Amino acid sequence: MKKLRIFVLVLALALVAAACSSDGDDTTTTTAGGDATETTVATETTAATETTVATETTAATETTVAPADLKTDFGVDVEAGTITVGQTADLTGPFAPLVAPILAGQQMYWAWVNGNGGIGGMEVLMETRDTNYQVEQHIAAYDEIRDLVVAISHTTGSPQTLAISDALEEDSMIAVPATWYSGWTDTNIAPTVLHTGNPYCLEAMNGLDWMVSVEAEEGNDAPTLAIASIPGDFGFDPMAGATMWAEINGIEIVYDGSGKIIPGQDQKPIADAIVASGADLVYVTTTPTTFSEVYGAALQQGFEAKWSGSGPTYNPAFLVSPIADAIQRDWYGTFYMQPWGGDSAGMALTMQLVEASGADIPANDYVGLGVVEAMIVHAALEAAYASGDMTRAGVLAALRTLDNVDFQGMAPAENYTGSTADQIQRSITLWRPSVANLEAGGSGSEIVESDFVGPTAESFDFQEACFQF
Amino acid sequence: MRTRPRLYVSYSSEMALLPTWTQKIAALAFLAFLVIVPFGVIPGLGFLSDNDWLKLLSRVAIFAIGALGLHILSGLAGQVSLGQAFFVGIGAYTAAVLGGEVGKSTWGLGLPIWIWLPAAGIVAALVGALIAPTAVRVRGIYLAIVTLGLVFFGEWIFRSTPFITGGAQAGREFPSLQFRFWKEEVPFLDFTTDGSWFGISVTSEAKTYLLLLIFVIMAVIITKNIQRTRTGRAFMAIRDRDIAAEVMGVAEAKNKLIAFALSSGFAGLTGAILGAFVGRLVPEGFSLFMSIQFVAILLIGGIGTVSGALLGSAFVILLPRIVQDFTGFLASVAESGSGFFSWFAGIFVSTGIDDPGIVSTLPGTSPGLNIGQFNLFLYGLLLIGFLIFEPLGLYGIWIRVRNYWKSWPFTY
Amino acid sequence: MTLDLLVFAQAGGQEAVDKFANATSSGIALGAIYALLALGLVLIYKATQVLNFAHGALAALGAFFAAYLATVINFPGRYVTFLPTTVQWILSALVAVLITAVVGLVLERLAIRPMIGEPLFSVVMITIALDIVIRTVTDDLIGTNPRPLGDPWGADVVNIGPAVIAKSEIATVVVTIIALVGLALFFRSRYGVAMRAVAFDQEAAMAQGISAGRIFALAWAIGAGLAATAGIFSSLFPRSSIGVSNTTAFFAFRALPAIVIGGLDSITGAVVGGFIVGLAESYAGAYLTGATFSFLGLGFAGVMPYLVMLVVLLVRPYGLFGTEEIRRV
Repeated sequence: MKKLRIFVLVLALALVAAACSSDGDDTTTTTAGGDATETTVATETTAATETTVATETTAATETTVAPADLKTDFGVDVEAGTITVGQTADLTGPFAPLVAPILAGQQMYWAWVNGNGGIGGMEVLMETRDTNYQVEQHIAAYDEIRDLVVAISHTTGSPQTLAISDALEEDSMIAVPATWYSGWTDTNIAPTVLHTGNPYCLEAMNGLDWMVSVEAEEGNDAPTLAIASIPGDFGFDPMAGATMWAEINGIEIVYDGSGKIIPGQDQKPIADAIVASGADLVYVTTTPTTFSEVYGAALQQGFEAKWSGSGPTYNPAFLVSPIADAIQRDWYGTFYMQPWGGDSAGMALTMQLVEASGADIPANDYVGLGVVEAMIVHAALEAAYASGDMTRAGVLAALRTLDNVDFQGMAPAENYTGSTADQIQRSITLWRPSVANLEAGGSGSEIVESDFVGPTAESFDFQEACFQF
Repeated sequence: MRTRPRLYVSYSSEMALLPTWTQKIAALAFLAFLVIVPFGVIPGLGFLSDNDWLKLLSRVAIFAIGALGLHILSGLAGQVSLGQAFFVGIGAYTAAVLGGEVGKSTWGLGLPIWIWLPAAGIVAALVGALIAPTAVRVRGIYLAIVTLGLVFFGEWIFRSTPFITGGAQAGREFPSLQFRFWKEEVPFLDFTTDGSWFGISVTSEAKTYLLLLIFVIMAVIITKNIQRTRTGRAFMAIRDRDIAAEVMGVAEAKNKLIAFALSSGFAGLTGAILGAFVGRLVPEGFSLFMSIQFVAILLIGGIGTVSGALLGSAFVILLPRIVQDFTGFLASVAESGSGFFSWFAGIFVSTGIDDPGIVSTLPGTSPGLNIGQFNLFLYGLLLIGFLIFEPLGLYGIWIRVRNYWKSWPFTY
Repeated sequence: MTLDLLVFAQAGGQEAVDKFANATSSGIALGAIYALLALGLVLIYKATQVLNFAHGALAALGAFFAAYLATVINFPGRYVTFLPTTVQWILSALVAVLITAVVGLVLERLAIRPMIGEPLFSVVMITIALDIVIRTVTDDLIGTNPRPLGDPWGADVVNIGPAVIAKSEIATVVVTIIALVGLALFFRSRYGVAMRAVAFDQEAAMAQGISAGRIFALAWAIGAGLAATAGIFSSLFPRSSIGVSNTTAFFAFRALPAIVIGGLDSITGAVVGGFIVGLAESYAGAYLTGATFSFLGLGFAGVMPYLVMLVVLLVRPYGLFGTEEIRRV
């Protein structure tokens, strides 16, 4: 017991030492007596010498490449030859299963960029903080890295991203959110938070356009619609889209469960209501776990309909679960980019990166999304480098000149210039779940059509966010 | 000899907050240290004046207030409560409604801070007093579950009242730390912008930190004073043996109600300040995890003491940051060099796909727990460690160290 | 009941019967899982006076073991091929339960034994800390995607009267009954009697030559095993078709009202409490919805168990079947 106490003391001292040294100050730790001090000091000095050596060697090779007159402020260190991009990511919360492959994709992509000479010879480093999908922790995480990074290449969650959007604007920090809230396209909301792909509300229109055309082929010209979602913009934005879609197309919404799915509760009442409504089309936006509860309870009662929902609602694990057959029959999937194993050059690159990394990553559509997120930041950084201004404001300005950020076909090209209406992305990838695809080593998402734009999504006049708080 | 600890020559000296001169000087020195922290003049600890560290320290202060509240209820009156988050939420939303601006769908009266801050405490205290009669009926583990139920109850209320809370997964804006006489445009004291005080320039972070420091000092003095009044002694009598206390004429129900109300009031103030500090909160934030955090603060710091509540807050809030920096430091050691330390660090961190380790610096690809998971893991382990090996927490360690040096170089 | 009759009168006939049958059957299935969770919690509390807040984490861990054994390792099928798939899956589930029981044993020895006799607050907190640790490790083990358990029942359903019941739900109820009967028999066995003795008076039991430590270990092993069983059956269709995920562990908090309603130290109470909570939640979900009840806000069914608990506590502070604690100075 006594030994343990000493161990704890040593550990605590070591932690203090680490906290000091990582800050870069030349500090001496407060002495607390005993032989513990010696070890701590020893650790510190070793670390100090080692890091300096490392920095010197890199600096020597890099300074020749980076232009001396490059303007920088945060996160770009010309001397050390490094560019740091930050991630405020949900590593332990409900969306951790989606975020892990996204970060894996980013790591692979940046490693590849660095292997090909980096950006102006500078190496891109990642600085990740956990947010636990909590607004409060998200803000704290951003505060922690805001002075270390030049851009945020991933931020999980809409309410969380919205909570830091003022700080982002104040810092002129571009941020790529892993959420498809339509407000990100709206230039009046969070002007430094970038949109990637089709926003939730247009996704809902696209998905419903598709389902209704299939329904028409099957001879049903007047299908009915049921909708349900979790609360928050993740749920309300697609629900707003679905409601507008129903209005435009004159289709009756027989059950409206917007915001009624509460994670962690019994979902049977929602399923009962959907079943009782007898809808032909169901549009649901929630987490995969709660979706499986709603869908399972509806299926139990023998309910059959065409189901669709926002991208993150679906999880490939459905295809190895008891609902696999039913989900194959019922699910009409939409995704903001090509799923795993798509036919584009960008996807081929992603596959190549996964293979090169040697990581044991299960086939997952979100790895490619990580690559897309990194590509946006990469494009902005390259443009900023070319302009000679790699301050955060410079990166933002450079990004705002890009009207065609290309993802080599793995996602529709993005425009970051002009008005809200100019920037809106209307195109989406349609896919169906397929056990055969999964068994062949894919992610189970069989592409039906890339770059699909439904008639309602096409003509929708997008001037502002579909849903605002 | 007059200032030896535990030698009291009069009743009033025994009751004094800081009985000895040593303690007075130490307390003053520590206070002075805390005050000059944001100006970065302390050699070796200059990093504490960075904005991110100041924000962390402010957060410590905020949680310390709530922890002091729980200290009154659990540490003094001995009532187990897992419901602190509920009262934090009540306080936060009282402040939001009274002090916040009208949103698209949310209420807000835009009243000044001298109304919404006390009101947050008062409303939370009233709610606490309202619930106390039920809580008084049950004891021990039943009370723990009832207060736990309170948190779930709170989650339901908060998500069902979007006009107050902004709705689940959406949240609302909170009033900011600005002092106004009434609703005038320019506040006379503004903690949200940089400025200069007495010719010294202070950032908004430094200002906020100093304001919160004042709040904590006030909370500490109030708690200390409660402790040495009749009520405080009644609390402790109930904690030690409730029936015996009742036999001696201590009204159990009444005092438990006071304890609940006081504790909830502190929690309410915490909520109001937290909301103002963070700017935006979602109702999901007032969860069981927050309650657990308050209990953990007390247990890690040392239950039953004010210093314990303060030490615990610092430890629990700073731990993730320290672990983060420590892991980053180990990763750089493991990557950049050879030798024993690098080898040792390499066991600990995983910096690549083929590199096994306990902590992964590349979440998603390399094996091991990611940094967020590792933080939680360590948090849990430390709690277990403290509970088993040092039930008095950090305060107990401090007493041990102090006693050792008091008699040094003699063992007894 | 009046409410049901009212609805019956309004909607008229078959539809209302169907609805009631459906709500009842799903309430019973839900209650069975709560009962399983409650049995483990009560057993541990009875023997060691510790309320195990890590129960949900153990449940998720057990479900993960079952998923891993059944779908990744293909546990019995890898060695013996002649067994029918149902038997194979039951075997891998049993092994998962056993492994979790061993985990419970280890936890008891490392973290709980040193805490016996410590203040209640510390004991509660140590199980919460264990919950954090186990949950974190389990989340990491589960990995990127949720893990379906590969059970033989899949999405199959049977019609019993007006109710449509999933086969896995029937299995859950059967397992709950087996667990209840097993526990009842256990308490008649040598060790069971010893456990009752320890629960009643630790010192007197030890004077009789009963090893209290061994009894504590046994209680935690069985308790963890029951947690694993509950975890496995709460990760099946239709409750959670996707299997065990990083939210499975939180399920156990919903069972806490059940043990309070039944009484913390009553095995019968656990089962009764479990079914009461399951039915209350199910009926609240089925009937207290729609525009009429919109004033109840979002997710009222979730707080229903706690409301029932409060009412019971106000009437009987030690639960329906719990022993009243005698307070002495």
